[in-house]
Amino acid sequence: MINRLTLILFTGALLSFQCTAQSKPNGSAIQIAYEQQNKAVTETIDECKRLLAKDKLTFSDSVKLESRISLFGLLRAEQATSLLVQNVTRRTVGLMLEARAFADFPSVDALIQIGNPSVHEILRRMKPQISTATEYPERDLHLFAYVIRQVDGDEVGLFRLELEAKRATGTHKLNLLNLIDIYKLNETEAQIRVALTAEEK
Amino acid sequence: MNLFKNPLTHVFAAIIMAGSTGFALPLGGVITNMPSANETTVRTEAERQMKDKDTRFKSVKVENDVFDGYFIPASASTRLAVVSDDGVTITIDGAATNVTNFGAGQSDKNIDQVFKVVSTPTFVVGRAYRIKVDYSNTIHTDDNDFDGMTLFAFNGGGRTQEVNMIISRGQDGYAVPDDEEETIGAFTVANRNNTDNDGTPDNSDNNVPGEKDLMKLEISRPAGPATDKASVKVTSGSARFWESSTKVNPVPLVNGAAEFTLSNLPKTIYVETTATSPSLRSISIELDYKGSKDTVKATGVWVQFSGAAHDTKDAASLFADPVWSDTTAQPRDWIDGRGGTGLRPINTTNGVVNAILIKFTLLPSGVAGSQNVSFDITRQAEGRMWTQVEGGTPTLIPEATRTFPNSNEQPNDAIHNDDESVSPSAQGNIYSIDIPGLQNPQVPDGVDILTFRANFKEYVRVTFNGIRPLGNSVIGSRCSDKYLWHVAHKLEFDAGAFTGNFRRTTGDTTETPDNSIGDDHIVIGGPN
Repeated sequence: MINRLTLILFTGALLSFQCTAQSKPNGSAIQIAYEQQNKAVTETIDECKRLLAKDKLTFSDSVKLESRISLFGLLRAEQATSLLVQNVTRRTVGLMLEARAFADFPSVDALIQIGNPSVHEILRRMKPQISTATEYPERDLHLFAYVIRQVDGDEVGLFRLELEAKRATGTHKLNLLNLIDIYKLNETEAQIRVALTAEEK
Repeated sequence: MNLFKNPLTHVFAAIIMAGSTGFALPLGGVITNMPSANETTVRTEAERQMKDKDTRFKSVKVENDVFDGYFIPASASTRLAVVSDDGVTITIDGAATNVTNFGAGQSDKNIDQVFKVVSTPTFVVGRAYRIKVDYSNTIHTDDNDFDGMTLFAFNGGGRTQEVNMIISRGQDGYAVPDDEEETIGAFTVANRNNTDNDGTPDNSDNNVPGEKDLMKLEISRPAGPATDKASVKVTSGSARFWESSTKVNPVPLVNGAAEFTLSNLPKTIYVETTATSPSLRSISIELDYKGSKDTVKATGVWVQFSGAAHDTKDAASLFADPVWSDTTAQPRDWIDGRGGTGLRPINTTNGVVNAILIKFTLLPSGVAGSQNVSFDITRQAEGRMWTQVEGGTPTLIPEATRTFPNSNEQPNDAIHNDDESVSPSAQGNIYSIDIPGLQNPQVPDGVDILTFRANFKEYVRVTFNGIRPLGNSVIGSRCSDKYLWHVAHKLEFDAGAFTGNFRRTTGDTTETPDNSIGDDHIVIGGPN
């Protein structure tokens, strides 16, 4: 299990490595830091899976889940993108000390912080043989479109989607075309919330 | 400014020396037949540059350039002459000379073959005369155009004097280029922060471990006897000199100036800006060696807290107020999105939030447009949250607990930059917002009452390398005082609304100790 102390220790290890590296190159220090991060991320993924497996989260669990997910963003944890994409619409309490978009959909911010690997994972998930869903639910697509736009910007994001759609066939292509339609709406956070609420009903 | 860093100055220096062998020219005359040795020297230089296709000298484009140096005549009868292309002006000790408008942007592989004697004062042997050559009116026509000029001395000649300092930006920043040391200058923080967390502002403190806001000043050694002295002085602005970057020992002053024997030069000292600069480049530092001088300029940056909007008010009224009308698009969009400040109505869009808008003003005026000076509004936070079922014992939510960092300069609530101005308003203001609370207004199972109290310290940090600070590490330097504010929520299940949402225990219209956002800190205390 990772907690903030672990993160601080990990960050400390990285800083320590940087200091060491300036005076004396040390390949093993990189390896140790890398392994520590991998271990921390893997443990946090497991903890998130346990929380997500619960039918109903307590308030405390919900705050815990979003704090763990935010760590993936801080650590740019590429390994977590699959979990985050699959749970992009999982809603938590959205505790805010600092204002941020979609605070109650913590996977969104983590995917944006992770960046390009998130877009790869979203595109991969559009393939029906990868995803459990044959046609991806629109709720998810609104949030995917938002993530891609934040990572890639308007034009590059659209270009990537269109290029992917050009190569795809069948349900895969259909998912991508649906995503492109939503992407072109250029929705704000408020508009997406309205869309999500409408689809809930 | 150092005369000898401009490529052209090599020509200048060379020709002054060549000229010092002496040849006769009528004062004020235009010469077309120079002694062959000197004529060859000048023209060969120009032609060689073109012929060799040296990238540096392929064409000499000197638009918007100035050079600045000293000449020490060897004889009272020494005269200066110039050969030039178009549009240079020369001043000697600030007085204009007769040299103006040589040609008008001709594309010419050879310098115009016109040598003109420069009007000079009656030279005093051994005295340093400051010579400024201004190319700002030259017209560069194409790659065959040579916009250079060559100035040389004759009738006894003289020598040039190099007197130079290099100033670097604070935070171990880059050395200011010679041609920018008076026009842009160095930047650092007015040293009012408290790097070592000892409760004493750094500008009133000696020996500050970790101090990084002093500017490095490298003083070169002028040519002269080892026992001669050069002096360095703050001629305007609030600054003082230190032997080390962490303020261990001040540089001793004699009549307000630091004096160095030439045998102790070159030397590096550090400049502290002790107060906010009233204007850009208000700090001026002068190196003087026997009348030969070099000047560098600097600005001490600080940011002033200018107010906070936290009373319950709708966005339209707020932004109609001239105090808030220049709020930048980001973070204004957050306030528009929540409909205003203060206690916001609880719904799916707003969540359960109390909103605040905070304003800072950059000082001195104009610093906003300065090169590579980047500001970031950041925050320290402490807070606690408790949940409770009706009639039960309150439970602390550990994941929601924050404590202020031990370091005075380290944020712990600054992972994102979406909640603040990307760049300053035209009036030089920057803004941040916060909306502490819950984005999801729905009451989870097992919660009837939720209590949340937090305190914040809002401040600004700055960097001088063009990279805007982000995140919870100590990055850059704090450049403002801290604005203290707080938030309090006491929420309960809204059984009558059938929405499943929270409601405030004391309503949405009036702030109470249980539900508020505003100035100063509150006691976080326990759940009740």
